[in-house]
Order: sequence, then structure tokens, then C-alpha cells
Amino acid sequence: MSKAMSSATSTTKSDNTMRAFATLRFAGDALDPDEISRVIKAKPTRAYRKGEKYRSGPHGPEVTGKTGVWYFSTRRKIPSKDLADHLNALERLIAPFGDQGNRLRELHDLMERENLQAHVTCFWRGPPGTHEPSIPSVATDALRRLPADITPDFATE
Amino acid sequence: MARIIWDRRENPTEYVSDQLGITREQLGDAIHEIKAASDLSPAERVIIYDDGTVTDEQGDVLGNIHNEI
Repeated sequence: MSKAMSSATSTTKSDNTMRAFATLRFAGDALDPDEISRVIKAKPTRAYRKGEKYRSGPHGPEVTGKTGVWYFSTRRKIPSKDLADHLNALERLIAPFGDQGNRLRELHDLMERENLQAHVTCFWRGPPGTHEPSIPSVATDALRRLPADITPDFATE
Repeated sequence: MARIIWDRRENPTEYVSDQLGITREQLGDAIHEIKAASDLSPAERVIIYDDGTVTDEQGDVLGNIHNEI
């Protein structure tokens, strides 16, 4: 096999095995999921109040929320393998274009009033030998101003 | 009675995905989702059972892998 052919095969394999998505969650004992949904104007992937019993799906028993959570995942919503696209989607949730920071301020005030925390996780998997992605600051500026901490979960496999 | 198939801190091996009848990719995605939706960081340890149940270190159920596939 020629070197060029080998390289092309390798690139295709990398594209096929690379995966990325990002999640945003608000958490706190006083969290009211409906209030977060009202501000963000989007349905969460999952949401529950502290002490609420809920089913995560058809398999397994009921789960009891240890704290209140409003959780949004880009995994089934954004088909891109580029982590920046997933983070941009989360940014648009909390700071939509043309909003002049109103939603971000409302969320910030709500977090302070209800003592809520915001967390972002970045999931990325790539084939061995692939460089892990960086977390672009331009795609996380509004998230950091919430403030949300941003935790990577990167690995090659 | 479900049997524990993973209780280590690092990412589960292919043995775990084989036991659950799913791919390692599906397993990795599902565990990340379950932890994040349960207000756990990616580095926190969870226990995985052979019926797909995932619990935290205290034994409280967080979800089921098969619900996330």
C-alpha cells in the first residue's frame, strides 16, 4: 500500500471513530426546572426537583433526585464531531444572538437567588494517536460568565 | 440478582460493553450522560451492573445504560 493510500485510510478511520458532545446542567436544592426552561426557552434532556422520583427510561427502577437538576445534552441534537459546534449550541442557549445579554443576566440572577450551580462537560473520544481538542475560549465566553465550570472528558480508545 | 461488572474509577474496558451487548462507543457516551444528568463530574466513580444499572458509590441508582443507547 502506498504511503498516500495509508494516510487516506487512516484519516477516514479517525473521522469514523471520533465523537464529541457537550452538556450543560444547572443544579441546586431549590432548583425549579420549569423556571430554567422558561428563561432558556428550550426543553431539557432531563430535569427533576430535589426528592422527585423519575424514570430515566424503560429499563431499571425509579431514580430519586438528590438535588434539583436541569440538564441539556447536545449528543442527539448536534451531529458534528467538532466540539466547538457543541459548545456553540450551549452558548446560544444562554446567550442567543441579538439578546444583548438579557438571558445571561436573568440566569445569573436566578442562580444567585436560588443558590444554583452551572456545569458544562465536554465529551470527546478519538482513535489512538489523535490530538485531543482544545476548548475554544470564544465558544465558552458566555458559559464562563454565567458562571459555569467547564470540565473536559477526553480520551483516545 | 444483578452482578457488578465494573467498579473502578477509570473508563470501562471492552469487557463491560461486551457483557452489556453494546459497543464501547455506546457505553462511553451513556456513562457520560448518566453522570452529567446525575450532577456528577466525569471523573467520579460509578458502579455498573450486568443488567445495565448504574449506581453511585453509595449504591443509589443513577440510571441504566440501556436507556441511553
